[in-house]
Order: sequence, then structure tokens, then C-alpha cells
Amino acid sequence: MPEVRRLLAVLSTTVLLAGCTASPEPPRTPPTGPAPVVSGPATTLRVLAGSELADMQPILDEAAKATGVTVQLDLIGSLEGAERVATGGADGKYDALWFSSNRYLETLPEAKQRLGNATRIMGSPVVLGVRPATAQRLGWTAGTATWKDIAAAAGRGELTFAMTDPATSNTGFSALVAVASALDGSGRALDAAAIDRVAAPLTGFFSGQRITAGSSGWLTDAFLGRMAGTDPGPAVDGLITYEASLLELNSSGKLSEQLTVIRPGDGVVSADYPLTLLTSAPTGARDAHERLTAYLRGRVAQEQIVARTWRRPGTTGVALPSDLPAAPVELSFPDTRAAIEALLTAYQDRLRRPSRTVYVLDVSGSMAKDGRLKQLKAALEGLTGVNTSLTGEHCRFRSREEVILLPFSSRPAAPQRYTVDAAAPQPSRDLLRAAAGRLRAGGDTAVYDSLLAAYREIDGAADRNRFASIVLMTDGESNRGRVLADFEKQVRQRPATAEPVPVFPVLFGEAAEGQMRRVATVSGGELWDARRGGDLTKTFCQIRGYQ
Amino acid sequence: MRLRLLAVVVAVLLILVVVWQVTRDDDAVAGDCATTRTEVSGIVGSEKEAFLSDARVVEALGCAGFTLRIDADGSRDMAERVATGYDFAFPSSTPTAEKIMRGRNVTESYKPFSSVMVVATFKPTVEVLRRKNVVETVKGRDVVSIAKLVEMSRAGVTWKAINEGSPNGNVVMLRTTDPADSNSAIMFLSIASAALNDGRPVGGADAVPKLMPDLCRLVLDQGTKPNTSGVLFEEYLTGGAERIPMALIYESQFLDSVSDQKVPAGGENVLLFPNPTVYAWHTLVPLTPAGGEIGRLLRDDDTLKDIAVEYGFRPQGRRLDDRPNPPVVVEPPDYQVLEEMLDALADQRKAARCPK
Repeated sequence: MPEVRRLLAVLSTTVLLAGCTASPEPPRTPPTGPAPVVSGPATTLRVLAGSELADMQPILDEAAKATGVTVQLDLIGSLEGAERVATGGADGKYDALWFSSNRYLETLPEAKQRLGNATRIMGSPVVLGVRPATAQRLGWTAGTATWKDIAAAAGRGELTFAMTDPATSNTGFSALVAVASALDGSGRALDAAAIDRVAAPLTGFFSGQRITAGSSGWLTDAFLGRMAGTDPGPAVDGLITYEASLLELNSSGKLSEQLTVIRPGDGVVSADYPLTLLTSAPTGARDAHERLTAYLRGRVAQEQIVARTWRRPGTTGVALPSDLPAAPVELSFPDTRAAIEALLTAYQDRLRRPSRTVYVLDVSGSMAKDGRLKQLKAALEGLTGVNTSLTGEHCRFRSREEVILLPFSSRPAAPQRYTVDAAAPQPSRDLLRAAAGRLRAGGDTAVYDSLLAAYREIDGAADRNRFASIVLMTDGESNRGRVLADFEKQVRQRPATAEPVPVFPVLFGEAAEGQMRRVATVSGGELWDARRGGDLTKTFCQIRGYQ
Repeated sequence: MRLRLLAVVVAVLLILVVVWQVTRDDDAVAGDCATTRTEVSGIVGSEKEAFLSDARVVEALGCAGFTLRIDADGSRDMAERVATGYDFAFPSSTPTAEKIMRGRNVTESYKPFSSVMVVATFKPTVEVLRRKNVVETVKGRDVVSIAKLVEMSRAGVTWKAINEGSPNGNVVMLRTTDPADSNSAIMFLSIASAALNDGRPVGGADAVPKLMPDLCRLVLDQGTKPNTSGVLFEEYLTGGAERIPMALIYESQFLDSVSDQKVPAGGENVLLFPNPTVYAWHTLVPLTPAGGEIGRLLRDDDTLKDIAVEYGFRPQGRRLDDRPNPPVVVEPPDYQVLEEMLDALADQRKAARCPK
């Protein structure tokens, strides 16, 4: 009875299928693989992001069309962002974070506990771009050099470079870890003791640093300004930043000469851009995060990322542009807070070129009103090691730093010079705090006489191998002594080979914005605004990244 | 002839029954499937995320009356995060499940499938490692000797040193996830501690201190590590032989034939068992009755088991003749022993220093 048996077989299958609740029939469209959950209800995802991610806006606009998820990007610097997260300031206000890396955040327990699902989107190593003449001179035209070669060249005085402050910006932080690890050469993540093994060659490396900044965007502009001769000071040989930024610059048509990209052969530290949900985010945001990251990791978005932002893809299967070499090997990045803090502290207090910082402080009569003088004192005191917040710790006056207080009203007062003692830094900072406390208001406003007095202090110093800069805090127009034109003339008369002295004017009260902007521009500095809702303490702290 | 007639009659009857069944079935698809759906939320190890969001799994669970919402997380983190309103937790090992069960006073659990810990590596890497006896043959099968890797770690031998022309200056090590976050790194501690203990699971917490100098190096020297095995596997796939020559992952990740993240064809990627290895039992801990239902379905439903096989898992009680078994297997040590190692690692990480 073959038929019967066959029929019974059919029957039993049918009965089985009918009784089965899970998988009836062969499915209409075979649903293999994970469900592509890309589109969905219109939602806004509030994202606190690193400032360099502004270039993702066009891709995020496309993502919004495809997924219904509109991203509201609020841009912030790395360190400030980390502090915001660690103190709970991002909870409830943001759904997700998007920084170049979570490495620093993960070393802070208060921040780490707030990090939920993290999805890597793309990557870019921190590398060195050098001017063609430099590449020629050092034999690096093929782009092959190691961090060891780079540190040695800088130590010999044959390479100058621009790099951001490792405490406040991710490119500087990544470069510091990369150079230290490469010099250590153990093939292991740096431990707390490693810093002593590499201090000497690292000091050599940092002797070549000519420009520092709190953000990589500003750093790049300063590097280009000096290369083009529009900013004061001699051109600098190299720029340490993301590979993506260098490739973008080279393709921008803005450069008179293409930078040679050096991808150090002994390894790199890369940004990996994890789009990270905050654990405090509501359910809807989780869903939006999932849809958005699925889109961003899809082929279309990945190809756009490579083509438009010059970053490397975060997923497999997306071809690299033919002229882009394979990514260098990643150096082991220490994940211990102790090792990282040891490295950052060593950088500030032992390894970097020390700073000479002049504070030109308006104590004219108008500073007596609205508690302005009190705010000024508090802002200075915030730099003397008493501010224990994350950002505060990194903006204290550093060991070996020379700090000159130059208060002025109708005329500049006598400069008060303090050097932070490397062996006992805190007593030096305490002296500075006491000096700030003694400031008194009264008299007129001689801005330019005082600014020029500050230049004299810097240009007359016997020890010139320092990062020199001026913070100019004023709450009104100059009404005594020399004028802006005199200042501009004096600055232009400085020799072309002299290291420039950037001025960072801080607007306060009724300061003359136009004039102050001009001062910043001609000196190669930057204008800061602490008026109306501005916070003088925070501003003074942020400027530290540029000193 | 009568027999033949009887057969025809029976056949006709059967056809009628079939037709009736099929029609009934058509009417009743919705009827047999639950008409209402309960949302069930679970926190699961990232390595199961793709499986649990497979359209067929979603459909099957939906039919059983459940809409699944999952948060993928490092399985270790889960023990901390599980407090916040989930119906179940689904870590990928019994030790982590035990921790959750103890914390939440849960006594039952489901073990629908397991996965062996494997080394994902590359063809040229295997040859390099074979020359250095790190890859050895046991019971006719190539395995990665963990004891040899410990020696390499102690001596600080770099990839560059054993492989001329390699740009990789990092010490020859297995790349793992972070034991503070992820279950697969706990499996790594189980493997490495057994290798340091003459191939036997470490019996008690008092035996831990003497293992810590090596365990600490194997973990801390890697620097930052992925929080989840999913991220680690992606690092391996995108990194390639030069950047990530070896990663300790779940066998399921390598064998997964369905999800986006799969091993490319071409044979460059190689799967080897470490010597020794451990089985990770994916263990569902129910926190509500609905969560328990999900556990039961995953364990008992044949369709779900079939799909689990496609995702590379080894369902409980199912023979998989195409999958080799690892030649050397140990049990993970007791939960307290692992906790002891994790506590010691946390202290050493805080100090950023390994004991000598």
C-alpha cells in the first residue's frame, strides 16, 4: 500500500503543520536573517556629541529620511562632555552620546555606569601630517616613519608640530598614549610604572610641540594660518590629528601644498565613534538608537561615511578607497584610570614644554560693580588646585609653569611673577591664590599699555623655551594710554622667527568686542565671551587647553 | 482487489480529513496563534541578539503570545543591570546566571543551548603559531595551547618577533572581552586558570592568588577590551590577521550562517579550539512567569532549536554530526572562585599594576 503510506505521510505532515503554532507553511517571503528594523515612527534622538561630528550632519539627514529618527546633535569638547556625563548632567537631557571614543569615559566609574549599548560606527586613526619639505628633509616622503622616529626627530630639534592638549581633546590624548606606548615598545598596555621608563624620550618629543589647543578644529586652523602666513609666527612642520581630517584638508583645495600623511608603523590609537545609549534613556530612545545604528552601519551610510568624511568604515564589506592603505596596527590602550592619570599628570607637570602665562587683569573702577571683581578672583582661584571637578583638576597651574599677574587700571601695575615649584607645586599655587585675593578695583582702563607691558615681560625673559600666552580680561573700553593701532604695530614689528604670543581676550561687562576680536586675530589667539550668562571661571579653565 | 478498494476508500477518507484539516488550518492560523501579545523584555548577551531578533524567532514567539524586547549587553554587566524591570536575563554562562539567580532569589533556569569557546584566527597566523608550538595537535585536531600562550605573555614575545615582516608590536596574546563586563572573558579566565592549574579547574578561592600574576598580565596587557563578544568578533573580522590575529569568541559566532556578522567565504578565517576549552551554557533566568515561558519555548520548541543551530548554537540534547567536539574540555570553576579572580583583577586594574 504505497499510496496509503504516502497519504498517511501527507496527512501527518498536514496535521503537524495545522497543530503547529510557530511555523506554518513555508513562509511567503522567506524571512531569513535578522529583521531589518530600520524604519519606524518619527522620533528625535538627543545626542551629546564630540565637536568633530558636525560633519556627519548630511548623513544624519539621510538617516532621518530612512529611519524617522531625527538626531539633535549638541556638540561639546571631549573632557567637558566626560564631566557632564560623569556628574549626571546628561541624564534626562540626552538619550545618547557620540564621542570619538569611550575610552576615557570608561575609566571613570561614575560615567561608565551610565553607558548603555554602544555601537561603533566608523574609525579614524590619530596620525601625523607633515609639510612636503619636512617629509623630504626627514626622508618620510613614502609616509613611513614610526612614532620612535618622530619623537627622535623632534628631540633633535628637526621637527616641530601642533598637537591638542591631551587632557581636553581626544586627538592629543590618543597621540600621547600612542607615542608613550610606542616608545615603551613592550607590546603591552602602559601600566602605572611605564611613564618612568619613557619620560626621557617623551620629553624630547614634546620639545618639538609649538602649538597647543583645547580643540582639534582650532588647532588645525592655527596650523594652517601659520603655514599660509596669515597668523603670526613661523610655520610649523607637522600637525597631529585624525587621518580623516588630514585627508579632508588635502582634498579641500585650501592648501598650497599637500600634507604627507605619516601613519606610524609602530602602531596607532584610533577613534571608533561608538554611538552610545545612556542607561537613563527612555524606551522610545532605545528603539530609535537601534534603528539609527542599523542604518548607519548599513552599506549605503558606510559608503557615504568613507566618501564624505574620509573616515574608515566601521563594518566589514565596505571597500576602502584605492589610495587608502590598510589601517595600521592598533596599540594597546591602557584601560586603567591610574595609568591614564599618571600619563596625563606627567604630561602636564614633567614632559611638555612649560608655559609662561601672563594674566592681564582689568581692575578699573567698573570692576567694583555687580560683583565683577569677586568673579575674577574666583576664576583665578579656580586655577590654583582647589577645584576638584574633572575639568578643574586639569586646568590647575602646572608644575614648572611661570604665571605672571599683571593687574591694570589707569596704568599697568608691577608684574607679579610666580613659578610653580616642581617639587612642591601646591604651595606655589597657594601663593597665587593669595595674590588673586589681594586684587582691588579703582581707576581707568589702559588696555593696550598693559598688553604691551605683558609682551615686554615675555620678550624680555631669559628662558625663552616656553609656551607663552596672554589672557586679557577686561570689562570696558580702553580709555587711557596707547590704542589698538599701536598694539597692532608693535606685534607686527616682532621678528618673523619669534614664537608668537597668542592673546586670549575674555569679554566681560562692557568690553569692546570688535577691538578684542582684532587683538585675538593679530596675535594668533582667540576671543572668549564671559558676558551675559557666561561663566568666567569656566572660561579661564577652558583657555588652559591653549596655554 | 478488495484490498485495493479498501485502500482507495481509506485514501479518499484521508484526503477528506486532510482537506478539512487544511481548511480548518487556514481559518485557524490566527486562532492557533495567540491573538493577544504580551510584551516580554529581557537582557541578553550580545551574542544572542541576532538570533533573538530573527524574523522567524519573532514570529514563533509572537504566535505563542509574546512580543520580545531585548537589551543586548555584556553578560557580566547584566548582573548589575538586571534589577531594572526585565522579565528575564539570558547570560551566556552558568556562573553569571548563578550570580543573577542568587541576587534575585530565583531557583529555576533554562539551558536551551550551549556554545564552545573557540579561537578565531587566520590561516597564516596558524602557521606562525605552529612553528612556535602554540598550535599543537591533540587527538588529531589542531588546538591553541593556552599554556604556551602564558609563556609568551610572561616573556613578552611580540607578533613582530615571531613573524618576520609583521607590523604588530603587541605581545602574542588572545584578544578577549573585558572580564568586568562580559561573560566570554569569564570563560577566558576559566580556560586560562585551568591551563595554569595543570589542566584542571581551580578548586578553591585560596588557589587564586598564585595564578593572579599571569591572569592579570593576560587581561591588563591587552588594554581596553570590547565590552561584548559581538564587538570583539567584529574587531576580529574588520581587523584582519595583522591587527587582531586571535580572538576568543563563541563557536556560535563563527558558525553563524544567518546574521550580518558572518565569517566571509574564502577560508582565510580559521576556527581552532583552545586547549583546554569550556562550554558556555546560555542560561535563561526567569524573573517573571512570562520570562519563564520564553525559556521553556527556547528549550522545547523544535523550530526554535533548528533556528538556533543555524545561528551556530548547540541545542541541548541535539546531535550535530557536522560539528567536531573539542578534544580537551574543562568545567568552569565554581562561581566563588571566579569572583575571587574578578575582585583581584579589579584591584590590580585600580593600581594599574600586576603582581610579580
